[in-house]
Amino acid sequence: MSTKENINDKKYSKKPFLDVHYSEGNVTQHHKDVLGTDIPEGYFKSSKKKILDLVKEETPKKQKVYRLQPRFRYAIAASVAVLLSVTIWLQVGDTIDANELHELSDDTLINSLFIEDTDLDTFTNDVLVSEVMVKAELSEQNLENTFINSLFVEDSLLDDYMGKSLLENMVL
Amino acid sequence: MDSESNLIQRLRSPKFKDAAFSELLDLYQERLYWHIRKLVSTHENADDVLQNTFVRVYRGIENFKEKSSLHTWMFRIAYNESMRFLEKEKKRLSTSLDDISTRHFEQLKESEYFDGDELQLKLQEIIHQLTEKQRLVFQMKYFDDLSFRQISEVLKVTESTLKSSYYTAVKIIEEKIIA
Repeated sequence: MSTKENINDKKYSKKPFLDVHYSEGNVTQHHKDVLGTDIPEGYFKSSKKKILDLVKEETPKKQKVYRLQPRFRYAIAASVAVLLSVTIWLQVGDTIDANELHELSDDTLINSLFIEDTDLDTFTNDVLVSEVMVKAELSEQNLENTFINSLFVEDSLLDDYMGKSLLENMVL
Repeated sequence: MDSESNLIQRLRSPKFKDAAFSELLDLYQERLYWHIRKLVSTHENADDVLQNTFVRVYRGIENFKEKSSLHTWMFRIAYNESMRFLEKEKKRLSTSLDDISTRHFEQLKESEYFDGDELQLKLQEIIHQLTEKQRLVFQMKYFDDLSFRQISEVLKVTESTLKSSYYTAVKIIEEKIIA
């Protein structure tokens, strides 16, 4: 049978071949009749189920929200507030100390520029020299004391040794 | 409110989305399947692409701006998904789209879901020999029953170009079938 005869065998053969259009709801049959393509039995039902399962996985799961008892909520809020205040207070405290120190050193440096040479000499004589002298005398006295003490210690050790040695020599 | 607007509204509502989506599948699944099947040829390929298409529809319904009908918008997504699939295949096989079309025709002949006679096989062969644009417009107009305006929205090509491609395709097919 020729191709032309085949076309005439089709149910829509009274119309020119390409004038045949499918009616709504007969899509699969139309493709089967014209193109010879087919699908597995019950395909659209199983495919629908597969697609619905797929989109179910797409739906974001609701996240659990944990709610606190009011008493714990207030306690936690109070603790956080205390911690914050302490942190801020400590930071401010540190800043004041540093600032004060900075100001003090500035003042000292500036004031030192206005001190007279004579005042500085008097200060040196009265304070520094006397302090150095006193400290020097004190350390000298300490040195002497240490030396004298060491002498006493050495004498007593020598006495002990001599006594023991004599007895041992005599016995032996 | 018409049924399409109503369906869109329910698809956007978290409460009714799942039921509306099931309804959407009943309405469009078969038509979109056949639109895709003609682009990717085998049933297995079409099944994968159809699933991806509906997942995209589900995700994207919030962003649907209603500049076209829901029907056209879904056909566009199906077309884009099919093209994405063909591009992947083109890269995987390092070949051109025309070669893929020839390859698909060979696969179709051997497929267990092709039961065509001599005439149907000849028609398939002729369609696969058309240029990409002619093939697309012919399939969408003749088999998917889309208007030139709808095809123009899906393919982003002017209606006059589409008409010209369609009538050329029809002429080629008629001549080759009757020859």
